[in-house]
Amino acid sequence: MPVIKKYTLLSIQSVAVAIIILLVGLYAGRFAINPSDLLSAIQKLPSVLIDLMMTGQVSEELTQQERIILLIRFPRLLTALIVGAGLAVSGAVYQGVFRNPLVSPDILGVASGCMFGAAMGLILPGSSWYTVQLLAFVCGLSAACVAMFMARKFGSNSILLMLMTGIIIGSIFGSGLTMLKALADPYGELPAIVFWLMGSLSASSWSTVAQLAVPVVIGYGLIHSLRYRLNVLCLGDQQSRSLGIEPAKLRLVLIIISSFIVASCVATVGQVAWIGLVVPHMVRTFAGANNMRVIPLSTSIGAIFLLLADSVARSSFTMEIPIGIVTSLVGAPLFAFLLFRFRQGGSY
Amino acid sequence: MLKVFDISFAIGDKLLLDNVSFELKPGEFLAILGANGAGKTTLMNCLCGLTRPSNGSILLNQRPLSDMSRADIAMQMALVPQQQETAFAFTALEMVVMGRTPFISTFESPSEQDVIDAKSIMQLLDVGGLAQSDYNRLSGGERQLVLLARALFQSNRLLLLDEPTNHLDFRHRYQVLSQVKRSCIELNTAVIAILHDPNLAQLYADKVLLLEDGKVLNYGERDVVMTSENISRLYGIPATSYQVAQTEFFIPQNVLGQAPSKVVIITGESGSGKTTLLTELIQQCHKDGIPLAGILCPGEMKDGQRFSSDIVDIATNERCLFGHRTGVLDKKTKTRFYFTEQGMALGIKALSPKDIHTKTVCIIDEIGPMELNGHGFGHQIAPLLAMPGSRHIWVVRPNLVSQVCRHWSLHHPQVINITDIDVLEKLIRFAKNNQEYTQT
Repeated sequence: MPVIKKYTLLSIQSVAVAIIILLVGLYAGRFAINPSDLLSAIQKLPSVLIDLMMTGQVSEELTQQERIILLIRFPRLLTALIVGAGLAVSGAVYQGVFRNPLVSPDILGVASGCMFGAAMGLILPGSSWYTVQLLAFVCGLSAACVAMFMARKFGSNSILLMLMTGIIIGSIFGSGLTMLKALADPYGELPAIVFWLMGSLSASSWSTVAQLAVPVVIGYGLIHSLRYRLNVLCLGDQQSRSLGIEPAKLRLVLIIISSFIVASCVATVGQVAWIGLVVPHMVRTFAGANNMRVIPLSTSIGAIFLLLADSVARSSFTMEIPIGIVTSLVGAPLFAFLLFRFRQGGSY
Repeated sequence: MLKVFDISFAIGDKLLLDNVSFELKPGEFLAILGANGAGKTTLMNCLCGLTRPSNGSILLNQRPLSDMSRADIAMQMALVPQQQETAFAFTALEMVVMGRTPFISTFESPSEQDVIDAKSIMQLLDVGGLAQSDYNRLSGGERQLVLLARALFQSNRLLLLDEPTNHLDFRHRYQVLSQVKRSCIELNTAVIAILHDPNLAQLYADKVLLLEDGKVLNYGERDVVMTSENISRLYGIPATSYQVAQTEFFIPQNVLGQAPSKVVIITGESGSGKTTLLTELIQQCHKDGIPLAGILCPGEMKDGQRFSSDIVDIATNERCLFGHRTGVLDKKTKTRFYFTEQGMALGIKALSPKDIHTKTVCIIDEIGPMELNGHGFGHQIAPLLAMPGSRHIWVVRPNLVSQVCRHWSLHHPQVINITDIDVLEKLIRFAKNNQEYTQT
C-alpha cells in the first residue's frame, strides 16, 4: 500500500523534525551555550526530573548553563510542543465534528470562557498564578458545556444550533471580560490581564508541563483511537447512523475531550490563535481528508508550528513578543495562501 | 427478512405515516412510489431506524428494530443515501471502506484486508478505477455507484435506496438499478427503493407500494398494483399505459398530444341554477337511455349563500346529507363547510372508476378549491380522466375555471356559461356523444 507507506514516512519525518527543532531550541538562545553543556544537561535530565517529582527541589549541582537548559528552556519548549499539538488536534476534531473545515477550537466559546476566567483570577484579591489557571480552565469548560446544554434544550442536537449557542456564549463571556477590564485597576491588574490575553510561554516550568501533559496526552490517546469514527461522523448524521454509529453520543464525547484539551492549553499559556484552524487545514492539503492521517499529523505539525513560533517570539527582537501575536502573524497569511491554493483547484 | 406492521408517524397532530404495513423476502425488490410529500422519506427514515414510528412495529429477521443497537441494524441493513457532497475530500476508496464501520469495535480501524475487500467490490461495480479519486469530484452517476459499493460492502442482505436515480443521466440510471437488481438475483439481496419514475419500477421491481398522503394506496405484486388508474390517482395526472416488449409503460395523457378526455365545464355564479340544470339533464338522459354516473349536490340556499347540501350518487340515486355551513374556516378543506363522513364516502364510491362503465358520462357537481388542494374528491378525478373513452361534465366556479384546466392538464375543454340559452341542448348533445360537438 503506497499510500500507507507514504503516510508512515510522513509521520516519522514530522516527529523527527519536532525533535530536531526541540534540540536546536535548547541550544540556541540569547544566552550562549556550548554543545558539551547541552550534552551533559541532557544526561542529567532524568535525575533532575526524578528530583523534581520526589521533592520539588533540584538537589544536584548544576552549572548556570545547565540550569538554563534544564529548568528554563526545556520546560518552555515542551510547553510549546504540547500546547501546539493540543490546539491543532482539537482543531482537527472540531472541524470534523462540525463538518466544516473553517471551524476553530474556540467555536463553542471555550477560549472566551478561559480568558474571562483568567481575568477574574487576576482581579480577585489574593489569588495565585495557580488559581488564575484553575479559574480559566473551569470557565472555559463551563462555557462549552453551557453552549452544548443550550443547544440540547433548544430542541435538536444539531450542529448549526451548537454553532449558534457557541456564538451566544462566546459573546457573553467576551462582554464579561470587557467589564472586568473596565473594573480592573489600570496600573496593576489591567496590564496583567492584557498581557495574559496576548499569550506567553515565558512562565513555563516543569509543573506547567506536568499539568498540561496529563490532559493533552490522555485526550490525544482517546482521540487517536476514535479517529476512524470521526471519519464516519464527517459524513453527517444520516449516513453515520446508517453505518451503525450514534452520532450525537460520539459528537458529545469528542467535543468534551477536545474542549478539555483546549481549556487546559489556553488556561496555561493564554490565547494562542490560528493554530487550531490552520494546521489541520494544512495537513489536509497534503495528506487528504482521512482522519486516520489528519489526527496524528496535525498533532506533530501543530507542535512544530508552535515550537517555531516560540523561537521567533523569544529571539527575533530584544524584547520577547507575545506568542499569540506571532501565531496570528504567521497563521493568517498562511491560511490566506491555503485558501488561494484551494481556489486554484486544490481540495481540502 | 423485513416485516412492517401498521407503522404510523406523526409530528405534532400532523400524521405523516398512517398505518403502513408491508413485508419483504430475501431477493425481492420493493419499489415505493408516491407524489412529493407523500411520506416516502419519512417511511425510509423509520425503516433504517433514524426515526422511531409513533405506533406499530418493524421486524428485521424476527427481531424488533427498536430493540436492536445501531450497529446491529447496520450489519444487516445498508442505506444508499441521496448523494450529497462531503465536507472533506475523502477518496472513493475511503468512502467504500467506511461500509465496514458497524463490524469493527469503537476504538479499532479497518484492516488492510478490509481495504482489499472494498477494492474488489468496487471492481465488481466497475468503479475500481476511481478508488483514489476525490469523491466530491466524481460525477453523480459515479458517486451513486460508489455509495452502492459501500452499501453492498456493508451488507448485501437488505439495501435501502433513497431516490437512487436522482440527478443521474440516462445511462447511469439504468446502470445503477441494473447493478442493484443483479445483487437481488445473484446474492439474494432484498431491496427497498424509493423511485420517482413508475416506469423504473415496472422494469426492476417485484413488488410495489403506492404511498398517498402517508397512507398505503395500494401494495402488492407489481403487475397487480401498477395500473393506469392507480398511477393517475397517485400523481394526480391522467396517465395511459403502452406496452413495449411485454412491459407496460406509463405516460401522462397530455404529453403525447393524445386526443383530450372530453370534458365540458359548466360555469356560473353561486345560485345561478347549475344543479337545477343538471337535474333536468339527468331526467332527459334517463328518457334517452344514456348511462350516467357521478355526483350531484343539491343544496339549500340562505341569504344568497349555500347553507347545506345533500349528495346524490347519480348512477344509483342514493342520497344523503353532504354537509352544512359552519361559518368557521376549516384548515384542512379551506372552506366554511362541515362535510359528513357518510357523504364523502358516498361521493368517493360514486366517483371510483371501478364502478363506472367506460362509455358513461360522468358528472361532478362541483370541483372547488378543496379538490384543487388534493382534498375532497381531488384524488378521484385523474383516474376518471384516464379511463379510455370517458366523457365528463364538471361544474366549476367562474374564477376557478382556468386553475382547474391547468391542474388536470385539460386541453381546451368546452366551457359553457349557465346563462347560455342553449346550454341544456348542448349538454344533451355532448352526452349523446356527437362527434362534431367535440371538434369545436
